[in-house]
Amino acid sequence: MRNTFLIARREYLAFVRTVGFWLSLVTLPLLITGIILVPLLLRQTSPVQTLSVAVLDLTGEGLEGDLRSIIRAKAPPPKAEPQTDGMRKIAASIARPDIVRLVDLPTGLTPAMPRAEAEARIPALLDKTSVGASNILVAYTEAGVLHFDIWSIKSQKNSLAGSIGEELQDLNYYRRARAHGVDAKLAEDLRKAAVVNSLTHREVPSKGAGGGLGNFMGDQGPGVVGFLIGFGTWMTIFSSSMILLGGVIEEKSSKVLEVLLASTSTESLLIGKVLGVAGVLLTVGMIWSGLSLILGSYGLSLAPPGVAAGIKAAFSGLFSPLHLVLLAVYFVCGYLMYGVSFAAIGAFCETQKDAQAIMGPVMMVLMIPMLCMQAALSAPNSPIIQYLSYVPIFTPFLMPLRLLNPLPWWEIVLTLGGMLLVGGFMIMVGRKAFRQGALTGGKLTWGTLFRIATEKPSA
Amino acid sequence: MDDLALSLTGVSKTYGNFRAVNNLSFAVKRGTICGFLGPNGAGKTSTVRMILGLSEPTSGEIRVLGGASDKVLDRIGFMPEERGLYRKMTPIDVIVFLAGLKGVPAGVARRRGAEMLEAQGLGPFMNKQIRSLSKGMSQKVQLISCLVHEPELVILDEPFSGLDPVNQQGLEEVIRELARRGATVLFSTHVMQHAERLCEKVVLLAKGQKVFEGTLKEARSAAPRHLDLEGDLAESDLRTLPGIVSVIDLGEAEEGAHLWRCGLEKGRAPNEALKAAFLKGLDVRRFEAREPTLHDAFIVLTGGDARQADATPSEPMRPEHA
Repeated sequence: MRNTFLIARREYLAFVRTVGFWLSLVTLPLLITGIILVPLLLRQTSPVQTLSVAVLDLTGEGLEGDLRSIIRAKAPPPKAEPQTDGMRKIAASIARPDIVRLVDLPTGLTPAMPRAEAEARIPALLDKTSVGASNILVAYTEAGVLHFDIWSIKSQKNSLAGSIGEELQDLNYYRRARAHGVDAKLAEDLRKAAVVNSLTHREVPSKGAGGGLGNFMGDQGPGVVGFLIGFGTWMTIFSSSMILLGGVIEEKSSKVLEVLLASTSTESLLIGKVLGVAGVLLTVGMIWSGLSLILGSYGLSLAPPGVAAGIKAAFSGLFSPLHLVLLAVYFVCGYLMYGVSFAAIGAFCETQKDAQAIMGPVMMVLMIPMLCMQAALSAPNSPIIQYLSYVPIFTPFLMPLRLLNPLPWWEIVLTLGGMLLVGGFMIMVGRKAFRQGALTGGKLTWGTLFRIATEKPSA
Repeated sequence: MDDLALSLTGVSKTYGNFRAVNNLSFAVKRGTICGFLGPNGAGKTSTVRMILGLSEPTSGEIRVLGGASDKVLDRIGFMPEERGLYRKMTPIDVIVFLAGLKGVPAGVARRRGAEMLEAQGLGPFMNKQIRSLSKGMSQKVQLISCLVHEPELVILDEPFSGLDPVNQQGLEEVIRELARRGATVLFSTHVMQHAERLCEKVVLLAKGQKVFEGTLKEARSAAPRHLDLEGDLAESDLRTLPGIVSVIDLGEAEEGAHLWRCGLEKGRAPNEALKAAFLKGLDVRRFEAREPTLHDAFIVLTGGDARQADATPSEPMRPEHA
């Protein structure tokens, strides 16, 4: 016990006393914040795209007036109403639509000219900045069918079509109705009747409170939070296991391991190392949780009262004490399982290069739950996720995804049992492999692992 | 209390089909300096590891300080052949940490460690990172780490390798001091001179088997005595002398004389051969009866393996499963 504590303390201090630790502690949250904020800021600060549109009506049906009306209708109102709701303000700033502006037809294009001639001239005209139009909407008929061509400069390709596509379809509809002698009023009524769907989309009452975000948390929260926990578990277990691996390689290459094993038991050494790194994780977790709490509280204080209440209500309903206990059990088992295994791998490696050779296949297996997690975001209880979560080496990562949705108790018992069984076996083999690796210059092979696993326990 | 610090009875160790140690038995009394000698691959490191409980013997029994080694780790000091310390830690922190693992309170370890570092001339480097120290300095730190908890049994695997003559002499003094205060020292070495100067007892290993266990005197007696003769002498004349079994030409001596080393038959005194030489009227200008050294004994006892002695400084690590 004494030695376990001493080794854990040394391991902990070896990391915490380094400048790199504190740098990464600060830089990682900054990096994550940057990854989230930079695209938003870029979008907010980048100028809004203005689509200058000239209309060339080659149909001879006098559609120009209608087309100009459609484009004018897309132009922004003279003065947008200021957004007072904090969340709506953010949403509005993120989803800023393009500004559509109607301009005169460039010189050289006339509604009376043949289409071929117009098409020959348009590319050259769009290249000239003096023309003032970045898009030219050409309307023409071919065998009685109305067609629209949108010519755009490269940077605005598809922008206008996305903006006025529906209106052009409407225009075509009313034109066809007119051509078939349908009364304009009747045509409009038919259009409305077709658009108004008789299928009513009914939803169960939302679990959240406090409006949009609260409802979102209530409905999608378990999936998103489960994903975040699963992803966080994967990242934490993987990074801490890598820390253990690196630490053991350093000790092995500097020949300290033999001295340590001559001073204490393998169990003390291994548990001490695992606890030391766990201490580092705890420190990081506490500091980041504290910061998140402070920043989160500050953020909630700025949010409108309804939204803040909704977020609080949604989060408080997500976790029961049982959830928290189960999450902790899955995490601890996963950490021990992978931590001991990685430490054992490290004991067979003199250099990082040796470790890379062994870690290649291990990483490929570890990527499976990562890939599943993304898919699980939309379907946490899909059969693939469900069956993979029964595989004990994936359980610690995939069960947190599923845990926040209702699960039959037998699944929890099954996964916990499997994980404890396989985890226990991995820890037992890992302990022996660690000792074996620490004292030899041999390579880790499947044969070595088999011998270690099947060897009789020493007296 | 058990009089023996260490006893091995019928200990064997096999790695797959390879038998590294074969039915090894020996004992070391408390307070003794015992040399554990043998050529490369003789099984010394394997034996040391079994003594420390780092690996289990395939068969046989090992008792250390009256019990199993894992129960008395705190009372053992061990310096491995391949030195290892945390390079980013300071000497004093490493010493305190390793002493802590042996149950020494941090304050006591810090005081003792500082004193020992000062005594070894490492006071100014106490708080510098180990990676900034020279190899010799690091070895001294390693030795202090191994001794700071005042162990009853000290096991040193090739302790002299890599040390300059001054530091070798210093280490010899440390080992003698350990014995003076009652500690038992078991050290493996290839360099017979160290063993000869330090040991009261030697255990000689070859190909995993014990080939000798006893005092230095007993070891030397296993090798023949020599008679060095200088003069105008012919090899054929020397070979006819009674009790002479071998003649080696040691080269030219002064004034046209030649120096010969004559190996004596075991149990034969040099007087007999010397008397015969004078009676024959051989031109013997100088003679010297030479007692066998431990090196001679080592060569005789280990046979062909002995050629490796002194040639290679260390025994390679062997995988647990070959």
